[in-house]
Amino acid sequence: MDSAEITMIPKTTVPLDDKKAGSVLSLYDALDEYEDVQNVYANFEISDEIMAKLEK
Amino acid sequence: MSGHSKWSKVKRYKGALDQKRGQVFSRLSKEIQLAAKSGGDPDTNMKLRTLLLKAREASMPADTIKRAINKGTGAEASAALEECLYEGYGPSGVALLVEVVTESRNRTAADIRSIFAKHNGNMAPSGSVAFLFVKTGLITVKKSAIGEDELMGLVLDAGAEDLKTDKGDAYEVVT
Repeated sequence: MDSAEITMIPKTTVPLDDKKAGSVLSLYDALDEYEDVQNVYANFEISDEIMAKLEK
Repeated sequence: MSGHSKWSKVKRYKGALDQKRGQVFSRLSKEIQLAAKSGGDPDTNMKLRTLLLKAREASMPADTIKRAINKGTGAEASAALEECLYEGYGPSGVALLVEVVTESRNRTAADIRSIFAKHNGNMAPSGSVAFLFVKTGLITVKKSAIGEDELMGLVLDAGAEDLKTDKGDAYEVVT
């Protein structure tokens, strides 16, 4: 077993195109970066291709 | 049951970000401190034991781990930590759940509210989006460790919700 944890999973997800993904991720990142935040759970869905583009 | 595999991608992306920012230790430390509140002995405290495994895997120095445990049990002085959940919406109607551990609930609430506002989102009252999520256990197993059929058998026997296979990892989702 590699890892085990309790997590919050969205019941449905919202797919994002690359324009929307950028702005949602910037909120997600800002929240996640804040030191007191342990976890951010979200219901968005970003395709692999868009993820790869954004990670550059 | 569709579209579940994407959130794990978010988890991986966040994991990589955490490492870049050197926040792995501080986050783990807080979690250990919280878990140790109910008992500093990993033999009796399973949550703590799981966290210690995680910490060892992340190469967290033993000293740091011990300090976090002591802060939780009260052996070492520290400000009281509180766990809070904040909810909100982002652009495009995305729902976000933010788990926070802080020494100052008011300061954190104000900061989170301003982060939401700055990024075209809004914080929402408790309960507005929490119902959109389900608390689940997630276990990851390397594909190389076990064959898919064997794992499927174990998973079904244990009554798990779902088993996903993805590049390089085999996931198991348990409710």
